[in-house]
Amino acid sequence: MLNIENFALLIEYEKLFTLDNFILSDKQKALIIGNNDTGKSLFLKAIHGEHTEFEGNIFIKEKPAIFYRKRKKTILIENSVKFLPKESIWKNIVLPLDKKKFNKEEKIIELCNIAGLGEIYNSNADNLSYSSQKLVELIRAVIQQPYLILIDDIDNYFDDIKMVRVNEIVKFALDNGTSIICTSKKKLDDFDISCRIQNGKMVQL
Amino acid sequence: MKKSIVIQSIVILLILVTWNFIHLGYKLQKQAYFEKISEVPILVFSQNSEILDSLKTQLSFAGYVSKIEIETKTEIAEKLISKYELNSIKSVLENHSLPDVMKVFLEGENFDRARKEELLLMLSGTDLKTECNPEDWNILFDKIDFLDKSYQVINIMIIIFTFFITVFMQIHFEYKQDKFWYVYESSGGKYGQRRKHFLISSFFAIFLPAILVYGSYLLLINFSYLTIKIDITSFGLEILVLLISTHISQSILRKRLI
Repeated sequence: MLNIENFALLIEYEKLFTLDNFILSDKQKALIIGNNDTGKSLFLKAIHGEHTEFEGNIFIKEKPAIFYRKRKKTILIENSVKFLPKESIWKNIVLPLDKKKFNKEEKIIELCNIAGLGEIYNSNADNLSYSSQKLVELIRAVIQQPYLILIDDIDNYFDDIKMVRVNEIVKFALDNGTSIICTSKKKLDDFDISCRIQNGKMVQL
Repeated sequence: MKKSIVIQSIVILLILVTWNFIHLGYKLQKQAYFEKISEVPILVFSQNSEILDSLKTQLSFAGYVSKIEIETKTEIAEKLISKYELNSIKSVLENHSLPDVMKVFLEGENFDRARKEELLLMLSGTDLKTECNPEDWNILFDKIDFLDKSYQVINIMIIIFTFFITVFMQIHFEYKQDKFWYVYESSGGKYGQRRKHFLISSFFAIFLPAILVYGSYLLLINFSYLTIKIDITSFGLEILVLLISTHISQSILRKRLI
């Protein structure tokens, strides 16, 4: 699904790290571990097609990442919340969905129940906690069934209890064929692939 | 978003209604001036009926004459006798040499300063006596000129106002939706939706009032509530102004509407 070869992430012509080869299959989830300023977020942006300063090749379903910039087959969940606080939780979830092909109500309700938002999905979103807002973002991404969901600094938003809910939602995405790449500052369990960025190199653990 | 479309529609509708009332007012006033020109005929007197006949033929080819009537001296004498019961002095009237009279009714729409000169030249023959008041026409022509100029100035002002208000509203409401579209696009929404949405909302906010105004106008004409017709070019101008405004807004918002 995702194939990265001879990759070097650059920022203002300087190499942040290099990566020889990285392959992620369908329904797999990978974790990229690294400290601050190692280039984790930029790496996700490069896969998402937003950061183009790199060497090497990134292929998603055998097409370069830039190919998907206007076709949105990857969804990036960044640190900043992309959320409409004055709208309902439901509206925030269905926002990017094509209304003509909308047939996912039951799935959304199911995921809201998993996330603990089942009772309040019709209420305004402005009182939601940061972690719940991130859960809404995750549900919104999962329900679209993209090729790839990229979650930056996943350990920033969720504690151990919410992480259980996140894993259930992520499982739903994986079952539907989506692959997931997360970044974190510490090692987390239950990932098919774990890599660490260290000393200017990304290596698989 | 729906609220913004409704607000824009109402504002555009008000502008278009006002604009069309100005067209109607202009047409109405101009028609009143034309009627003033048309309602008083020019009287041409001549002892020679052949001269009047030849003048009638000449005038019938002029585009600004709506009707010509000639009354012979006999007809005039009979009219006078029957109207004022002058049977007792019939012989006196018959002995006097009355002239023939030609009444020339003008078509106000087609009569202007140049044609006035042309007409006065035609009526300046030696055997003719004319009764008309060119000074009155000059006053009316001045009024029509002033009306035309005022109409042009008002139109230009409305065009500028419509440009500003339409562009301002479209940009203002589009800026207000920045957050929505940022969230929409970054959460996986379809590429190009914002542009599509802008065009659809422009249609509803701008062209729907135009269609509504034109439709109402046609209905009023059809059911004879309105007798004065607005030029189709005036409606065309309104649509054109709205189209150009939308195009300007689109150009200004180009980077946002990707």
